[in-house]
Amino acid sequence: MVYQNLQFAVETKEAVVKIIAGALKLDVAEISESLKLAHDLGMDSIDVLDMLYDIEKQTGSVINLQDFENYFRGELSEEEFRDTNGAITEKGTQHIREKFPNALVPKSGLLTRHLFELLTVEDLIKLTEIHR
Amino acid sequence: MSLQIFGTGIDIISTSRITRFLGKHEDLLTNVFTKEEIEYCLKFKYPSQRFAARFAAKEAIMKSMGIGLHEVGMLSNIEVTHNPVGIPTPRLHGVVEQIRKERGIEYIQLSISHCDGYGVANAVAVSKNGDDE
Repeated sequence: MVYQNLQFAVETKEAVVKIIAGALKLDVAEISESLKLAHDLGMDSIDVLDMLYDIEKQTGSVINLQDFENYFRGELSEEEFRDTNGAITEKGTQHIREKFPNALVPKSGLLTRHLFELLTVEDLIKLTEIHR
Repeated sequence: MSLQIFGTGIDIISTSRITRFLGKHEDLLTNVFTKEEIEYCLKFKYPSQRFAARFAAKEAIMKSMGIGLHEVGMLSNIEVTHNPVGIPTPRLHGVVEQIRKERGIEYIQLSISHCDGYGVANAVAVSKNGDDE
């Protein structure tokens, strides 16, 4: 059972790294788990869609666009996490800092549309595992 | 009622990038473009330029509304249509239309263009002036 989980995790990781490299026309050796998809790897909207569709086709994991926000929101309710204008609340910002200590979260002014900027390769691998 | 600019957005995308995307994900294309948009683009000699301009328009509209990709559900919830004289006009659906209403955006002015290599778009979202109330 442990071996099966390990094999599953390894397969997922290798598939996601290969897909990211393919979407960005990079070598897999250039993709490390700590890199941020947007900031470090320069991924834009069409790259994101390309990558998510490849993940769906190659691993069976269906990650919806909304899942990025849900991933960062965790157990908080939408009202606790963000206001209607898309600004992350103080509680939401604190939550992100605690759960994602390596994320560079600004002191204030974080909007939901900025959340993708925080997403790393490691986060995407986790998301793929969660939705597989 | 006076109006104010809520936000602006601009985007550019290469036609080669959109061509590669269309080739790989034809089966999921209706997640990104509406059936009407696809039919419109395919009428032209160089559809990839039209698709690129529309993709850029969707991104520019999101920026003008202050929202990100994860908030639109599917990109096909943002549709680019044309009025009778050919001016591109956004038509919003589902969650994006709901966000427009919640944020008090009255309308979005859109301009798009394209050439051999790129599609480009600029959007300006206009809302009621809160000082009027």
